[in-house]
Amino acid sequence: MLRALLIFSIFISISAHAASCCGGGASNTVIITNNDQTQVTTSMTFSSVHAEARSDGKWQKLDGDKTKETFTIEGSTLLSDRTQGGLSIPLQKNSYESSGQTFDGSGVGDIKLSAAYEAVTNWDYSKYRPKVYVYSQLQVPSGKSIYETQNIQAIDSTGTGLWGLSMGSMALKTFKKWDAIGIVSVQKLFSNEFDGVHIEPGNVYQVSLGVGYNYKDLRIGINNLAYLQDSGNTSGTVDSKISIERYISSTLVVSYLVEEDLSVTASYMDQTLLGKPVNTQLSRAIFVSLQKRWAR
Amino acid sequence: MKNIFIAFVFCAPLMACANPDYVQKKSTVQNQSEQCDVYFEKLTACGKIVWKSNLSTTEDAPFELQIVSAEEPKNLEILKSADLKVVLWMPSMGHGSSPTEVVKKSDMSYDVSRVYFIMNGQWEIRFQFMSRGIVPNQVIDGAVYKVDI
Repeated sequence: MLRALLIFSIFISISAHAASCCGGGASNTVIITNNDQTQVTTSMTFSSVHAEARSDGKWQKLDGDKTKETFTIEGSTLLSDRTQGGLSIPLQKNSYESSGQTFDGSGVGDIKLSAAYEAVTNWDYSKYRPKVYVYSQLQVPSGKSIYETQNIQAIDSTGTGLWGLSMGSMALKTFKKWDAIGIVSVQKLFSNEFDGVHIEPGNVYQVSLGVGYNYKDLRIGINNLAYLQDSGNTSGTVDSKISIERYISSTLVVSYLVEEDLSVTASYMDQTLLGKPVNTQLSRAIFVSLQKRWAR
Repeated sequence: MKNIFIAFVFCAPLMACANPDYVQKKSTVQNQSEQCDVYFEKLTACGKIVWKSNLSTTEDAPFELQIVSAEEPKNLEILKSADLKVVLWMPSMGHGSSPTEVVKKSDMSYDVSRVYFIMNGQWEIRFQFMSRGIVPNQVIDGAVYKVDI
């Protein structure tokens, strides 16, 4: 069971680094779920846009190839027995290739600060009671947004340009060789103004369910994340309504415990398999990550 | 209980498989009349858009805006002394594109370049005539032209 928890913690730190349009995407949170003091995860994501889901629900293939490479370093540390803080810093490189031309742009993405509290512990054994964490996450608009781009393909957009505050809850449970996880979160994105246009974005809602099987030092799991962003508005120089955005990300995760304090994970994420996506870019991605932990 | 949950996580998504409906790729512009593509209501001026290339998400799509008529002569004088600003906007996504470049060819025509529709979907080309002089950068009049990439 301990090994299952160790491998499980890797999975949790990797949520959908979804290649949503315009520097945004599903927010992830980095939570220590075992008995460690500190954990640091470095990951590399390679994603490509398969098609665009329009606001009328129809899909449209891109005229060129749009890819993204994201290197993320994430860390969490216990502040007390039941509270912890975390930090996530993404570095992103975007590429767009078409008709023999290649456009590149790179930069830091939106940095995220998080705090979590272990609301329900497993200090005393219960067959059905899960471990439950509640968390909050602050999104810092450190990346260049699409509203600030000067690049002709806006390929240097790596962030949303918006401050955001998430509140969420995560429940996880292991059943011998099986484990399960559920996450729900709500994110409030705060308005901002760019070049005379006042952006009032909609709230973001996410629900994630996952299950995994552990065999010795190996874990194989699947996870589905449903993402919905409410409609928003723009005013000022441009008065218009922003349509809702929604998609489902499906991820297959394979994790391996190299040592008690070191793990590797590879996963494949696909946004074209499930649901009726609208108003978003649909991506497929491969993640590779390494996690190092320090015991209490 | 455990088995039910595991079965649910595995099987439920199968009931929500995506069934993509792909559009045929064809860029369209809003209904073009013979003379007037955009109408500036306050200036009672009619403009025509002359595209210089095909519309796509990968190439510059420059065009010329020609003011073909204005119902009142005094409005023509206002137009001549104003600056044209052209903004690309994707209303469903709530964002635009990189800034366009506007060059005044004559009192009644403008070349607009660096027109990059960075995504497929419906776009708006927003024209704004801006004041100069004592109180600059005030919007005198505007109009919207829609394209579907």
